[in-house]
Amino acid sequence: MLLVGAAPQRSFVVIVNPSNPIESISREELELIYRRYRYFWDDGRRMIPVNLQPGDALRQEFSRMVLRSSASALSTFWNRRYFAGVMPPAVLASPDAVHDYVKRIPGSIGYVMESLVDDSVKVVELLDE
Amino acid sequence: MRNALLLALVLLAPIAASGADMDIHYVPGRGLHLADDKVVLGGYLALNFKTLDESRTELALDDLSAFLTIAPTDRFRLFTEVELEDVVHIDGDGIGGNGDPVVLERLFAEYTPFDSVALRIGKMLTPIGIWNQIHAAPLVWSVSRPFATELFFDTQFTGLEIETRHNLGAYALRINAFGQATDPITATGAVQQMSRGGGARIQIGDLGHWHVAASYLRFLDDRDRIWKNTFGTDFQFVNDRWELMSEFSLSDPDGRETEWAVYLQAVYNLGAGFHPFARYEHVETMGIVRDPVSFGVDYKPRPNMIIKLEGVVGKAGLEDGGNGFLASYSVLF
Repeated sequence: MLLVGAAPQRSFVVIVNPSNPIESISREELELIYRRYRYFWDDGRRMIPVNLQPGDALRQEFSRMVLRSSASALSTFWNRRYFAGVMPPAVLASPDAVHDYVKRIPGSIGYVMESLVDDSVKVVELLDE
Repeated sequence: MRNALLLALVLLAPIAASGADMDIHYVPGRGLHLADDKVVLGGYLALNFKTLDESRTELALDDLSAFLTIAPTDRFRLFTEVELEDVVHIDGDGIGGNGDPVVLERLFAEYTPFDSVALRIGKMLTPIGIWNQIHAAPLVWSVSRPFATELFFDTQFTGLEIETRHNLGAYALRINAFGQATDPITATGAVQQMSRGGGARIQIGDLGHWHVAASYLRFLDDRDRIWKNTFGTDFQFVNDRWELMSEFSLSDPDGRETEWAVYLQAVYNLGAGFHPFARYEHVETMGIVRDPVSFGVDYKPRPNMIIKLEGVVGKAGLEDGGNGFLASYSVLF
C-alpha cells in the first residue's frame, strides 16, 4: 500500500480498483479524468471516476486542489458539458460508498480519507506539479 | 424524425436485452438516467420576455428542448436533441405560437476508438467559436446572442466531424475538422444556410480554465449560391470570480464585401448566486456599422436554473429587435 506522504496538506488519498496496474497519477491527469476529457485506461478499460456529494468537505478540497475550480465554476462547466451529452462523474453518498464502489468495480477511481484505506483498494500516489 | 426514433429503438433494444440495471433515477440538471446510465434523457426550457423598440413586446415560451443520449458500449453513443421553438407567446395581438415548432437540432452518432480521437456523423453544432456550442439559454449569461456567433456561418451542419485531443504538458490541444457534402438532414433556420462546405477549429489551453482558438470555414451558401469564407477566433478565461469570453468572426464571400463582428463579454461572480455581466460588440454587416452593448445581472437560485435581466443599446437597424429590455427564466433538467 502506497502512502501519499509527499503532500501532507491533503486530507484525501486517491484510490483505484486493485486490478488497476497504475502506481501514480499526476494532478493534470486526474483533472482530465474528472472533467471527462480522458475516458480509457492504458489497458483499454473505461475510466469510471466517482465523486462525493457537493457539500462534502473532502469533495470541496478535491475540487480546489485537483480541479482548481470552485463549485460555481464547476457547475457552469458541467452544465455546458451535459449539453454536449457528456455526463459528470457519478456522485456517491459517502466516502464509505466510494470505497465500496472502487473495491468492486474495475476501472473505477475515487478519493477518500486515508483512514478508510485497506487492502481491498489500491492507493495511487498523486504527483504534484 | 421517424428514422431517428427507429434508430433509437434499435440501440435501446440490446441495452434492455442485456439485463442492464433498469433503475431509473433523476438528477436535477443532469437528466433522467436509465439502464445503468446507458440512457440519459434531459433538456431545458426558456421563458423569455422582451420589450424592444423595433419589435413587439412579448412574453414567450421560446425553447423547450429534449436531448437523449444512448451509449450501448463504452466507445459508441448516439445523441439527439429535439426542440420546440416559439411554443407559445403573448403579445399585443394576443396568444399565438409557431404552428410547426418541432425542430431537429442535433442527431449524431459518435465513436471514440481512442482517448484522443472522436468520430461523429450526423447533424451537429458547427464547431466555430464557443457560443454556438453552448448556446442553450441555461448555459449562457445573456438573453441576447452576440452577432459574431451566428451571423456569418451556419450554426449547424450535417456531415462528418473528427475531433482529436492532445495533451501538451499542462495544456491541451484540440482540433475539430468537419465537412458537409450533402444537403442537411433538416433546414437549420440559421442566417447562413450551408449546403456544402468544410472547416476546422484549433484550440489550445488549459481545459476548463482558459483557451484560445482559431477557426476557418469555407461553404456554399444555399440561398445566395455563392462560396463564402468565414474566419474566426475565440478566447475564454474562467476562474472562481470571473468569466471572460470573446469571439471574432469575419465573412469573406466570393465577389462580395467583407463583413465582420466581434464581442467581449465579462461576467463576475458576486456571490449568493448573483452574476452581473456586460458585453460590448462591434458589427459591420450589409453596410451597417454598430456597437451594441448589453448589460445586466443574472441570478442562479440553483446550479441548473438562471434568471436573467438585460438591457441592450446600440442595436438600431440590425434586424434584431432594436434596443430595450430583456428578461428570461431558464432551467436545465
